[in-house]
Amino acid sequence: MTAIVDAQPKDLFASTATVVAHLEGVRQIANGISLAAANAKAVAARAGNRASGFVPITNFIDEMGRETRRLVDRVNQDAQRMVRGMLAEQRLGDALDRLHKGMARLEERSAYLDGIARDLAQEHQAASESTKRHLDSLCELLVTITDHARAARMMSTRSRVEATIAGDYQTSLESVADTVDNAAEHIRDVVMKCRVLLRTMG
Amino acid sequence: MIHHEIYGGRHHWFVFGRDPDKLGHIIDTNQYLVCDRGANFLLDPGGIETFSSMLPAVAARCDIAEVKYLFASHQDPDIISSLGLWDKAIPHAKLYAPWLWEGFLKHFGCHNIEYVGIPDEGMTLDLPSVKLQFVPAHYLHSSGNYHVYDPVAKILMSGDVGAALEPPGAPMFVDDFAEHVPKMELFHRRWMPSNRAKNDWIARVRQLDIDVMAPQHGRLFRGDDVKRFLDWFEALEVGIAIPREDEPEALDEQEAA
Ligand SMILES: [Fe+2]
Ligand SMILES: [Fe+2]
Repeated sequence: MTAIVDAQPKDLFASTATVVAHLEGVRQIANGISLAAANAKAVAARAGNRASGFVPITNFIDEMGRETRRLVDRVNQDAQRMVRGMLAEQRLGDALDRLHKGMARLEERSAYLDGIARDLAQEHQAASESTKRHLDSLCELLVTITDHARAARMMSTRSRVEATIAGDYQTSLESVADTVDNAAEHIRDVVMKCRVLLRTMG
Repeated sequence: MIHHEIYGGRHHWFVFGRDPDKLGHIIDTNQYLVCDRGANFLLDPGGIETFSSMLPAVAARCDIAEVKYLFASHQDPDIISSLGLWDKAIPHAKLYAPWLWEGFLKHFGCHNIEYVGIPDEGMTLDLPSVKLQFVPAHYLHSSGNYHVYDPVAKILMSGDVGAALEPPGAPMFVDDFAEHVPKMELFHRRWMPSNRAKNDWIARVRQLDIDVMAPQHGRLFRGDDVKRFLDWFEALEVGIAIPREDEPEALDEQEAA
């Protein structure tokens, strides 16, 4: 994982693929968060009244894990769509380039080819704008994932406070809080790296 | 890109090749154009890297907007990897190509051009002055392969059959057949996989009245050299150019080539 995160691909396609690979890691961490939430629920149930303040927190954390996975799936789908768009953009750009090279050598100007080149340039422009839109929307999704991770860390702080009144169950609940905290921090780091990669593409 | 007229009557044939702008590491190819009063037909239009030279060369001979038909003798990249570019330049055109290769050729990009699959037995294409024939040449060298015969101009466009590997700037026509043979020999023995397919094709082609045989690489054959080529090809064992360890003579011959 670290090796992939530290790689700095210069190519757009490679950057997107790297982002998708990182996010697969995020998905696994989000699974871990849901598992931690399930554990916390079990502990809280055993602790009864002493951990009653813990129940809404675990529900929230569980929901957050699920939401993060949903967002990662969306990023993957959007990234795939963006790669398809980038391929089209690259093909159109290459066609335009080769058409212009050929047209530069024409003995006399061709109104027909001028029209073809104009249409192609428009198509290329549209494809490049669509890539930009996809990129913006991917960045927004990543920001949302970061927001979720931040909220999870806040929740883990609240969990620690609740744990102090849980008596015998304090240690178990604190360890759940630690797990959530570490996971959220890891997600935030990975997503930051993804955002940097996507920014260098834009 | 050099272009020559090889037939001029009611319709015209042109050959394009010996591209001085060609990148060194790609094989030189001959492209052909038939111009027939607003129905222009481009045969084996070439690879991606040839497109920027082909476009002005074709435009010098006809109105690009009136290139209505394309032909691909088979699926090789030197034949037709420019398809995605022609697809943008002449979106209204039809591509005649082996039915067998449709799903493969479309990888080159064929969103606008209509793909007309040529059936195994061949078919004809009506131009205003001539009915062109797509003559089956399967396994020569591709498993779905056709040549184009023009009974008016008496030209057989023969794809990779008759191809020769030559240094840059070679003349357009064979002038000394015996001297030309070594430039074709290894190519035919290695690229042509089937003696049976070769003999079938020779029998078919001997029935045609041919003045010019026009391959996709190297020089064109005219007059008696066409018959000399058919005789030479008939005698040549093909599909055996990979030496076998249990046949030391074959290894020796290979090394000599
Ligand atoms: Fe070929
Ligand atoms: Fe070829």
